[in-house]
Amino acid sequence: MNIAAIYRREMRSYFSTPLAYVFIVIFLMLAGIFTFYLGGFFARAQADLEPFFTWHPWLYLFLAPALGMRLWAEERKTGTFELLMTLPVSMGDAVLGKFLAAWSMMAISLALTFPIWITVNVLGNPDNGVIVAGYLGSLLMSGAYLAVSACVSSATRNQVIAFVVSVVLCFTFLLLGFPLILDLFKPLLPGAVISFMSTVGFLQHFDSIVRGVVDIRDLLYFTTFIGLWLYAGAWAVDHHRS
Amino acid sequence: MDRRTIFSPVGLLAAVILFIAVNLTAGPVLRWARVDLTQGDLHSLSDGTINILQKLGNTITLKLFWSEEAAADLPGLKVFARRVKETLQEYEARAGGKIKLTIVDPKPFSEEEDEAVGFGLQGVSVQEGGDNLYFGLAATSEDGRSLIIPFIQADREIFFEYDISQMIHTLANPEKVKVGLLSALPISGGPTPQNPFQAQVPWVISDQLNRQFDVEVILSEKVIPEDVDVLMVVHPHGLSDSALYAADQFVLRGGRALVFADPVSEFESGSRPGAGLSEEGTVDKLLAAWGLAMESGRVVGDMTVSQRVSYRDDNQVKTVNYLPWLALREDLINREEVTTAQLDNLNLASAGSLTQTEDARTSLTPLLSSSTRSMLLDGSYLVFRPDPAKLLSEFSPSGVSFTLAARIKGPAATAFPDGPPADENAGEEKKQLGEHLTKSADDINVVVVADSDLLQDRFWVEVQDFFGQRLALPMADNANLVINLLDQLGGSSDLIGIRSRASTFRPFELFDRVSQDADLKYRVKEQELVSRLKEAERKLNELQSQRQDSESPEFTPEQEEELENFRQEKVKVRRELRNVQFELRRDIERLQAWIKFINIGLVPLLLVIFAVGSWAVRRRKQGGQ
Repeated sequence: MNIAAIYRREMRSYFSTPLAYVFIVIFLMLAGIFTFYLGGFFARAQADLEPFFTWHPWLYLFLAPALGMRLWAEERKTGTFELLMTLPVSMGDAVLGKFLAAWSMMAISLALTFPIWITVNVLGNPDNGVIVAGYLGSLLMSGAYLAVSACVSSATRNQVIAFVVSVVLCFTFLLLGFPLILDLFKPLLPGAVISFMSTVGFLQHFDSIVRGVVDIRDLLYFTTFIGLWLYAGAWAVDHHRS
Repeated sequence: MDRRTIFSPVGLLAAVILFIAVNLTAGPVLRWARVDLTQGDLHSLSDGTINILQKLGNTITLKLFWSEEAAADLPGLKVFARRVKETLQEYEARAGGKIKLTIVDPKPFSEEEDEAVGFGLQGVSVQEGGDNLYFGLAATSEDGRSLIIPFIQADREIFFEYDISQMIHTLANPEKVKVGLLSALPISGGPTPQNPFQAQVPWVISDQLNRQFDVEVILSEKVIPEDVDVLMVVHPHGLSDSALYAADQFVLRGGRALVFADPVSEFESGSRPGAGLSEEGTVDKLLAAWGLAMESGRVVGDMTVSQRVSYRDDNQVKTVNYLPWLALREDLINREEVTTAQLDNLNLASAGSLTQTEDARTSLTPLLSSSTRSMLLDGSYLVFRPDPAKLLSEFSPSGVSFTLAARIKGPAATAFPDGPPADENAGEEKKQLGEHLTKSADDINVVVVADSDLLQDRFWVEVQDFFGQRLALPMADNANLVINLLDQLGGSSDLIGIRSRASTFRPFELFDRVSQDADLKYRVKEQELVSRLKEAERKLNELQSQRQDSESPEFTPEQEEELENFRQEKVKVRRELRNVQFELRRDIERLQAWIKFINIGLVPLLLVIFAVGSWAVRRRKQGGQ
């Protein structure tokens, strides 16, 4: 129940200020601009959401740290961190409740992109199964980005530092699965290391889900990745407390 | 575990190691735990393919030649190539080491390019003077035999799995498919019951079949040889009961059959007026055992696809549509079946209509159908000097689309519940017949075509004598239909089960419709304007001739005015035409702008309005307090 209390407290704080609205508006506008201008939605003339989902890894690269940076850093800055620690909530509840609230913000933003789904259905005859998979993959990836940001936020009091370090870390995990980077390292590193890099990176798992196949290995990757970073976040909070 | 242990550095290290270990071991262990959400399971191999792969005895090497760089400017093809690669990787993964896949990039002037050329792959020049682009597949068996797809065409994407599985199956099973031909018509030439002393020329279809298959004409009619893979039964109405019994038992034993059952054989009625009409007999029982019914002596007449024929009537040559002769087009040929999807036109003559019996346990998949502007005609009328014009005058469309050919699959019982036909049930022959089966052990696999005349030369091929050689020039795809069906039936049942995949090409139909409508509008307008222009031109010509008649070198003021009118009209017409085109582009651009606005701005705008509204309400409440 304590998770729910923390979750409600966080959600209230999002919507009592313009923060939630600003975040969602920026998310929606960027997603749309990327789809239509960078993704060449009309030029491709295909009734699918590939140009929409292709840009999500890059969209989350900045938006997830922006949302995640304040999770703990702000508590510490405003002094509410100590107050939170005196409440009868466990460390796990606090970490999970905060993370779930931020992830819900991502989910709400993603859900509000529904006009693009309607658009492709009006324009042509898309494979809606692939679109469902795309949304699932996108949501899981946003969770992974957020978990990294939440962890970094718990380690510092300064939100700007939290943002920059989160972006760098997320960018590293994005690049690890990037074909260009893998190709670059191919002649330098053994095959097993290259394969490990692509397994640990976001992209391979995201691409696999977005093409319409929900593989348990990809689900396992995202859940264990989120779990690991949330644990590391709790670890950092615990160290600060003591 | 206490908090101290959980949040110790060792705990953190253990978590990282656990994460890596779980994800690295999950790779090979959980390979097949997945859900394919795509329409038609696009990323999963069909059961048929998996069966073929699991039965592989020897290793087959697949080499995919794909020029990555040459395709840099072809994003569509790159997407397709990625899908092809993924499909092939899945073949490799599912074959338990029996498929070895290599992806080769044949760069210009490289050894790999020589290898591609050596296999006979087709290099395509994407740009003028640019590098060749290779996108072909070569499959090689352990004993060195190889088969290729010279260039993987994106428009055959829905058959890609079938094409690869067929290649693998052919390499794994090198023997030709054996076709047993049981025919009441003289397809393979030789004497006929009508002309016992005169040998007939074999039909062209027979030549084609001999090239592709190991064909054995079954003469004894009582037992089908065991090594026959597919039985082809032509005009069963003309066959003896013992021959039909042999066919029945062959099918129940799991043999596949292609049956051409015809309510009216035009070949027979052509040689003997009045003959060829099939009356109810054992063959109907045979079809009924497979869950099929075909009305005896009734043929399908179709107004939409009937062929035009010329005939002499009252010393006059008349050309009319002859209802029972059908020239089926694409829309009446099943596009989802591998065997028929690529066929464009098929000629049938006095074909019957197939329906499922009420107690049918088999499934029926129509392969060929008539249009809905068709009806059933009395066959007896066709076998004596038919009058095409009279048939036409009596035509009344039934609104029903009749099935002319169908694939039958499922459990079936024998058409001879009392055992073999009585007169054959004696002595040595009984031993040969083997054990009498009352029902099929497994699902039967039969294709029934309700016409045998489509095999006759005159309905699908023109034969020319070219310096003593018979040259066959096909006018219709009839032979391809027969070969495809035999090929597929003769393959493993796994090959038959491989369904065609859904195409992943999904165009913006709305834009297509808008531009088609606009195009139509443009054409109408263009016609109207062109006729206006012609009218103006005619007037001008009239004036010109008047001027010549008057022998005056000058134009009269009236002529000058008309000339000016014409010029202006021409300019106006051009402008109007340009406007129509401009309007079309503007319609689409306007639609695109709206779509962009809805997707980029609409929801954010509504959110801002909502946020401002709720802020104002809150302020007012606070003010009230």
